[in-house]
Amino acid sequence: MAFTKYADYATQIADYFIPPSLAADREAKKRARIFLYSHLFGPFIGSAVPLAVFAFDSAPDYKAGVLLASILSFWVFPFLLKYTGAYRTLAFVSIQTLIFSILWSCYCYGGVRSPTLAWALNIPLLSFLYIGPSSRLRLALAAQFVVSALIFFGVNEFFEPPPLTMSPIAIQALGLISTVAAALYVVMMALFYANALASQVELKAEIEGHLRTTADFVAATESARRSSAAKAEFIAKMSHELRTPLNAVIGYSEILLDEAETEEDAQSAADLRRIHGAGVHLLKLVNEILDLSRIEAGRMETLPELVDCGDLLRSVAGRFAEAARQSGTNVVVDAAVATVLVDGAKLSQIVEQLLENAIAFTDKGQVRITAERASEGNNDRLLICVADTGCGIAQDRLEGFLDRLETVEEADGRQEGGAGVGLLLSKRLCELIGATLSLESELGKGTRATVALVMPADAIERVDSEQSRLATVAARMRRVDSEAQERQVNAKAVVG
Amino acid sequence: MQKLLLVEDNEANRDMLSRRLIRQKFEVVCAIDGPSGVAAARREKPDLILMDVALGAMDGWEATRQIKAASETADIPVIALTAHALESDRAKSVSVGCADFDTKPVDLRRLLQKINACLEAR
Repeated sequence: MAFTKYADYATQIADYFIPPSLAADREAKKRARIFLYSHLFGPFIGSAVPLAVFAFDSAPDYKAGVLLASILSFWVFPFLLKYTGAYRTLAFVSIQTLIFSILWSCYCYGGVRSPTLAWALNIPLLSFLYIGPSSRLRLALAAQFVVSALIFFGVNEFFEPPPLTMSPIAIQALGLISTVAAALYVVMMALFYANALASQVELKAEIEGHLRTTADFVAATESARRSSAAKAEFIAKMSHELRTPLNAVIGYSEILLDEAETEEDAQSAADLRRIHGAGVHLLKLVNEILDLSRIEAGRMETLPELVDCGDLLRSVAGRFAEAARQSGTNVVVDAAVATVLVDGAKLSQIVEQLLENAIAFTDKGQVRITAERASEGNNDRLLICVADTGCGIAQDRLEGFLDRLETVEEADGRQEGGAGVGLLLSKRLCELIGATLSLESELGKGTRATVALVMPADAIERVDSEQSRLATVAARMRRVDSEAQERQVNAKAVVG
Repeated sequence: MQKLLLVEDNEANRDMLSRRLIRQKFEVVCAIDGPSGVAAARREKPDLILMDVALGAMDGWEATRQIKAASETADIPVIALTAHALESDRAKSVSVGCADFDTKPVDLRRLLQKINACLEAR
């Protein structure tokens, strides 16, 4: 469409004057454009009136000059807007200038019957276009218009308008030109307004921008997903490849160890025990790394279940009885908590790791495993502590200890490095089941690892009601059982 | 002497585990895949079945399902052996009717505890 093309040129010119403060907001920019269209192109149409006066008036004087000057002054507004950015003030001043020009021409050329009065219709139109939907500002503009009109009628009433120096024919010609110009002006503004409404330039650019960003995000996400999936798959494959030979090393060394022990071949048994121990250690590392990668890939599932905390801790401690005996360490379990809702397998894994470390760093001492419930606001916390009387960790090393992946034995043989893979895994597992793992330690006195499991109050109620439900079911089953037994007894009695 | 059926497709694993179980005074029969495992369960009537779940075409889950579906073998307890200690594996072993499950490589002492618990429960 031809108009659209010209309107696009007009838009380019108008955009030159739009200050950056308005360019950011799409609505503000749209209004500023309409303001600029009317100020840039309106004077071409509006100046037709004073030019017609100059043409038809036999003795044109300062009155036509003032009118022309006031109309041409609109060309100053775009520059003021560009350099001050004070859009709202300029809009009010511009409307006031427009009111003045119209009323001045009416006053000078025929009073209330002036042929230029048709221009007054443009005042509310432009006010609406400039100000936008704010009713407060519209009210202010309406007041501005009413006050101006009252002044006009007052002046008209008390000061006789200057006598017309134009012939009736000339007045009619002026009226015709003025009306046509006013109509042209309204049409121009309507077209520009429609164009601004329909203009998809910004919208299109914005949508394209969003689409590009979206495409970038999708691509980045996809590539991250692919690389993460590839990594997880690689680790899963590698761990399988590592497990199979490790399986053979562990299994066959165990068979040979068994035979060597039966034949009382002490030297072979010692060697085989080392091979077997190394295999088991390596397997544990492989499993820990696999678990870590699963947690990182978000592929580690949790299965909360009702767990008897005391049972769980005693069973973990039982698995380390042999290791504890070898290091001369006494393991004590003191669980004052009964049933909790937690992923039991993960909790076992965590406590196993903590206990393994505690025993490894304690020589002929004691490891205490305790579980207690601590209330804190609306939440109950289950605190599981593994406290040893071992070598402890220096304070300066304790800070961020769990996040440092160091080997357990330093090069100089001191048994006080950072957390190994196992402890790091424990920390991640804690996070996974909604717990926190913290360490307190004193060099030479021992270390206390605490797993704090936050349980919302309603979870405990759930546990309680679940327990009572189970108890009810159990009682019912016992009753059924005893009834059945009774019936059996009765039946036997009948048969007997 | 109690009879165990070991269904395992990996030759080394089968050899190792069967030898270790024989040393523990069990009678051990082996099967190398799912279909032969199901057939052996019917033929040998073992006291307990150790079922590797990663068996190729017919996996251990499916073999267990068939063993549990046949009335003459339904009562034989099955312990599933999986490579990973995944919760989904545990849930699946329960859903197909396994009595218990353990991870490979086998910790013999732990497996023996589970075997004995299952045999006592019968």
